[in-house]
Amino acid sequence: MNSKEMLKRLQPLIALAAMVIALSVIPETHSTFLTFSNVRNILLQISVNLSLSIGMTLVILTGGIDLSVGAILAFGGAFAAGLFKNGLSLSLFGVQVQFTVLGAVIAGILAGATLGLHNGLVITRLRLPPFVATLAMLCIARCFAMLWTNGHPVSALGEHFDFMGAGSFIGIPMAVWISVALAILFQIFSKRTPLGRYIYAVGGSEKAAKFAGLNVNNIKLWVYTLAGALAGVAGLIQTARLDTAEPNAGLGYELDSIAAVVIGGTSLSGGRGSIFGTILGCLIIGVLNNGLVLLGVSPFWQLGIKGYVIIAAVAIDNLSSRKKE
Amino acid sequence: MKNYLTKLAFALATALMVFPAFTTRADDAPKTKVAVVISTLNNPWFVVLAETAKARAEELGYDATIFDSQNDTAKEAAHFENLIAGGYKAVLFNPTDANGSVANVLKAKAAGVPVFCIDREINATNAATSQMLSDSYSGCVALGQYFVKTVGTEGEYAELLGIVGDNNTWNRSKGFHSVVDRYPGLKMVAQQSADFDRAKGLEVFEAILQKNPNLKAVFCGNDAMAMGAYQALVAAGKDKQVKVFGFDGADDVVKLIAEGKIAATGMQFPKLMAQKAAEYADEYIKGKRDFQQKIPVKVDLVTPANVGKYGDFGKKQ
Amino acid sequence: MMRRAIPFIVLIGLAGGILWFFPLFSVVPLKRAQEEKAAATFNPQKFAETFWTDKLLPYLDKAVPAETLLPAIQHDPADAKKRFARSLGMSDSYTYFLSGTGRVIAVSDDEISLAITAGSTNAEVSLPMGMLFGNAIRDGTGLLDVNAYPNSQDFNNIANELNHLVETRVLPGLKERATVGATIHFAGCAEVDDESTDLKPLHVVPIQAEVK
Repeated sequence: MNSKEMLKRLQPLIALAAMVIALSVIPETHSTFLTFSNVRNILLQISVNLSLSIGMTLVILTGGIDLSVGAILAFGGAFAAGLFKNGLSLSLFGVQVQFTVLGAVIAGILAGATLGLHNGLVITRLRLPPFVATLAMLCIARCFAMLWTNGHPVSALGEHFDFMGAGSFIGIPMAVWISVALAILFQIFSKRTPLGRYIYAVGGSEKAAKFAGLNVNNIKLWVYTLAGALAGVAGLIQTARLDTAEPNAGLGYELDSIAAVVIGGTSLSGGRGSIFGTILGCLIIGVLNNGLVLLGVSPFWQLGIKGYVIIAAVAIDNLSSRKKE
Repeated sequence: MKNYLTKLAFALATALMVFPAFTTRADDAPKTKVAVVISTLNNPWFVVLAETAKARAEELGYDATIFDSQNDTAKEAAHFENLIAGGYKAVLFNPTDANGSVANVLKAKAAGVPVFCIDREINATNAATSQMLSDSYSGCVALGQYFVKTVGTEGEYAELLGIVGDNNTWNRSKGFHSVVDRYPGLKMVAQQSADFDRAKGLEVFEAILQKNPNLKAVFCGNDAMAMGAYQALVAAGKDKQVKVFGFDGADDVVKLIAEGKIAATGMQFPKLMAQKAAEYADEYIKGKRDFQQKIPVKVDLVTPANVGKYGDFGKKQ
Repeated sequence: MMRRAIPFIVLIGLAGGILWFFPLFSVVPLKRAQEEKAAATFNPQKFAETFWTDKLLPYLDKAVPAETLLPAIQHDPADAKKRFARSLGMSDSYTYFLSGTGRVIAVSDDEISLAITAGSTNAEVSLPMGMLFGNAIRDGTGLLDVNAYPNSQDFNNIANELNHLVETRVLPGLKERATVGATIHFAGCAEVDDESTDLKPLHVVPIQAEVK
């Protein structure tokens, strides 16, 4: 990698560093920003977005998009919580199936993966554009979440279930462990395994990938299924953290996820970017949100500032790549 | 090199964009900070609740900031974590979820920050310092009795529900039905959710009107939806045929009740609750510890007969 | 062929072993699960019935005598409110818990009107007939504390059930037996929302009403 590429990769890191330095120095936040509890809070608060954004990165790397991750998050969390708390009543056999935490977790992830697979099939077999297919799934998954919970949140799940979101291991919250572990795992996956490299290839040019003999459809199926599964994990983390699964959880989360991926340097046209960049993108959004709250900025202003940060991030990315060409 | 400069410029620009937002704040001696965490700012009733709480807290000498949870328990959790870390000394809290918000209040309690719930309850009596709750159920029982009196014991009516996942929606609906369901002649021909939203109330009710031309009345879970339903009736020319019942005590509905165009509403007292909560927080900070856990605030039935006493989200003084 | 199958068998065996110690789910007979669930939820009907027999009926002798209350209200309603009334939370409404003996002066479909003070021809107390709504019994005696119910829906359901008990245990047959001129001994609670209409007559929801 030459120095110009290195620089581009480090762009989000430098932006993050600048924000952290600014917040550590300004009098208003000087004593509250760099404390252990505040940093822990930031990492905790980005954990759900990070889990979602890993899958979103993979999807965007293939040149696609997934608008349904928020809704799948809601369904995955609600499905698991419902199975754990209420079990499954099979009146035909006269039994009630009580799920354990492990069973509910696996069920939640499988539910997310199934919905993700549905996305992939609609995109590859029915040839619908990803935007349309996942927009439809946004409604479908939300509908499933509402039907499963009858519109009411599922709460009071107990310590054992909540441990994966609210518990800690050597002082660091489980949610942070899980999301960071997944991020590292998938970073290695995307750069070092064949399937990971194929994902980049498909994003770079689908035609070239096909000529090279890659099964583009299968690769896309994998990517959307993984995105669904990771959305399921995000749903589990959120449900465990809040001790409640709400049918209207995750509203608008896909936008925060796309923002994190884009700010992290992944191109929306596919083929360029990394999960490492996405981690930085999540951190930037997390630090920004946290900083604005510590500064006491009105919630109305906060939305506007976030919008401009997204524009600035993508604009600078565009400018620097145009300069190269 | 040029890339480097562009990046630095960006980082600085970000920092600078934030400056205008905090230079408008007063720079005197640091006041104790009080947080107002509101479920949503998307509904004017909640805006009144939040701003009255903030204003009263500031009158009492505190620095008050409003946190908008956007109806999302996760955002609410993030707000609680941030405000505990940020040194806020009390929270005036409007929960998003009766069960889901309990964990957040317990976090604050563990950190020694008192939480005063306003308008909506949490299903726990050992978490918040005090809860000031609108007695929506009883308010709708009174509304239901008035409904039967004005609409009669026979006829078709429709119901517009609020957000399905919200406790208040069901409190109000159950209170209403506990009365009206005992009259077999009153038939509910449609029950749909319009999410407490005016525009959605209009759309949903238009469809209901189409299907049920002989409707005599509609009960709406809040005043925003009641306004939407009323506008649908005016557009269809049926505003004299169908009686509209709302709940909240919003200004525009109270005015229409005075004009005899809307039948009734339940006056919740957002300003009273918000002010009391701010005052309780003040008392707690000054050392008082014994507060009643649950304080139901009665909802008054507002009809054309007594509408003169009400206005501006409360009783006229 | 057996050679190729061995790794799979080992894998399935391992998976089975792991699932034995870390099960994904367990199966319970449906009836037992439903019974356990019902036992754990609050049953307002049972609660109201137990409360009625164990706590409410024995408490009736603590009610304010009507002969004391009515003149106090007549003389100074604000003072009477301070001395005898109970109010739930923040509200201008309040409830009285009273007992007394009255003479029936009118009977209609909606209510029985009683005069309490000797020689009076005005309705000073009225007993409602027909459907009962509201929180008079629940809040009037002060025996139930709103703080004891984390879910206010439970507290509301108690009011419903108490009203239902009055409708089924106290009111049936009362109207027929209450002829004009008869004497009724009653004990109950009266809600006052609007002082201009609810003080005279006091609308008393009866916990006990006997025609003498």
